[in-house]
Amino acid sequence: YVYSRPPPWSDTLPTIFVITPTYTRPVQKAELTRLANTFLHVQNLHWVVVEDSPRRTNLVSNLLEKAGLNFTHLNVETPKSLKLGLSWIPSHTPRGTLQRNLGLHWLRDSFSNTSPPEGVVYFADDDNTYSLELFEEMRYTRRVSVWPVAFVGGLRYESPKVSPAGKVVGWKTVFDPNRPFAIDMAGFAISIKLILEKPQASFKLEGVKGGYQETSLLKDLVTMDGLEPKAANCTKVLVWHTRTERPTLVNEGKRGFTDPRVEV
Amino acid sequence: RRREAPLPPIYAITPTYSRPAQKAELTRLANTLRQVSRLHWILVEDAAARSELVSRFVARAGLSCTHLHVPTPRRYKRPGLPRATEQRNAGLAWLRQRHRHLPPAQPGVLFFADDDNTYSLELFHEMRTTRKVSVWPVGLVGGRRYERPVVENGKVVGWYTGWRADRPFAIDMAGFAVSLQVILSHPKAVFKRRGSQPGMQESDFLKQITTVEELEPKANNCTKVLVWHTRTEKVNLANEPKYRLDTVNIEV
Repeated sequence: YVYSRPPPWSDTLPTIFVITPTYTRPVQKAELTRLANTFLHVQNLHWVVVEDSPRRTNLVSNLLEKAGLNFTHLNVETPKSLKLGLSWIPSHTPRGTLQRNLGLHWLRDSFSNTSPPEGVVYFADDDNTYSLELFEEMRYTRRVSVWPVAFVGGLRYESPKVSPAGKVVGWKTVFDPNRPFAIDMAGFAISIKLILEKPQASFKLEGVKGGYQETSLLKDLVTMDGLEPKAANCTKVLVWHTRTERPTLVNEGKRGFTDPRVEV
Repeated sequence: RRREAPLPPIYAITPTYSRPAQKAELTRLANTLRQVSRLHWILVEDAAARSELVSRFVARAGLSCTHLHVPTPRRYKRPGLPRATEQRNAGLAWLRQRHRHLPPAQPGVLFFADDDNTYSLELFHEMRTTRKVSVWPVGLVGGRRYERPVVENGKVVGWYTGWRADRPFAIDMAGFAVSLQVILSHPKAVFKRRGSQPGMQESDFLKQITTVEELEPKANNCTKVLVWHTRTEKVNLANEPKYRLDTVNIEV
């Protein structure tokens, strides 16, 4: 039983490919559920869900089948050595790199460079919050478009700095504003055409300093003055980098109290 | 999906308060609620006046919405004390006021939707057929993966909970819905402050309007988790300057 359907697919509207890395933990199903509830409003959205897992799990497979959305379900497991090796601060270990790259690989495999579909790629982590307006802002990206993101870098929001002429000239951040692209994963979208034109461009896996993951991809795709500012010249916040508390499962005990067959 | 008779309306009573993540929470909750047919959102701010942020949000939300406000008295804003009592009661009062000239037998179901929880669309389908009071499991609450009513032969016979299973109704705010009819025919049933121990809000409310025997189990005899008690991390604003330095005033 499908409870809701997205708006009918249009042959003339550019497609938004949303790449979401995800991993198993207690809040996973909740996160994917509320994300799906948002995506159901967006026309021509194709959700590429990439599990950090050796196999596609039943939980995610069933959720995607029942959600009613257009989707592709992939998986690739991050080796344990990478998970630990990238940063000595566990909370700053960049997650999702292999998964995002697999999403890009799937796109390059599925579409040919000679007749690329009209559309964009957006990396949407499963715990952020997205307004519907954001998707319409990114839909007509020609190369790479950018906008502010709330709750990153220890600020209410970080934002590209936009000149009166409408060009990105810098970054309004406190944390390392001199990065080539001082922008969060949730703050940009890339046209499919560009992704297919530059098949070597992907997120770097190793030797990436904290905060440079986005740069590791974008530097091979675009320069700062080629960026397209959205959200009213980057004056509106349309996406929030929310994080969900880890639930305290103290009463589960060592061996688990609740029935593991009841999916949560 | 077309039906012959109109669907009973669902009223979602959501208390909300100002903090950095408020607009984000309301945004994603509204994205869910907007998927539900015949849903009316009763949004109650913990505030002395309607805020601009929430007013603007409601105007653009594209949802049938009533925007109320009532401030929590200072003496009740202590850790450990129940929260959102006045706001939920304001939602109940509005519903009662709106139907005051009508007979109590009105179609409709209400439930309490906190602004940081997560709701599946299936939950609304389940609660819509509530005759009096319906119940279901809640994920990620009580220190467990889930809590749920224990059901035998279609009746609630106990509570599977991580905390004080001896409560008359050992259930979380997100775990039940009440028919409008029951609310209207019990005009004095409200969430209490006086004499209400911490964690007893739900129980003290439900015992005014129903009995355990009357409860209607949903979600496949309370074996499916369709709502999760998610909580959002406090936002890190360590790099915000003491005084606003930006040249524009941007709402977050």
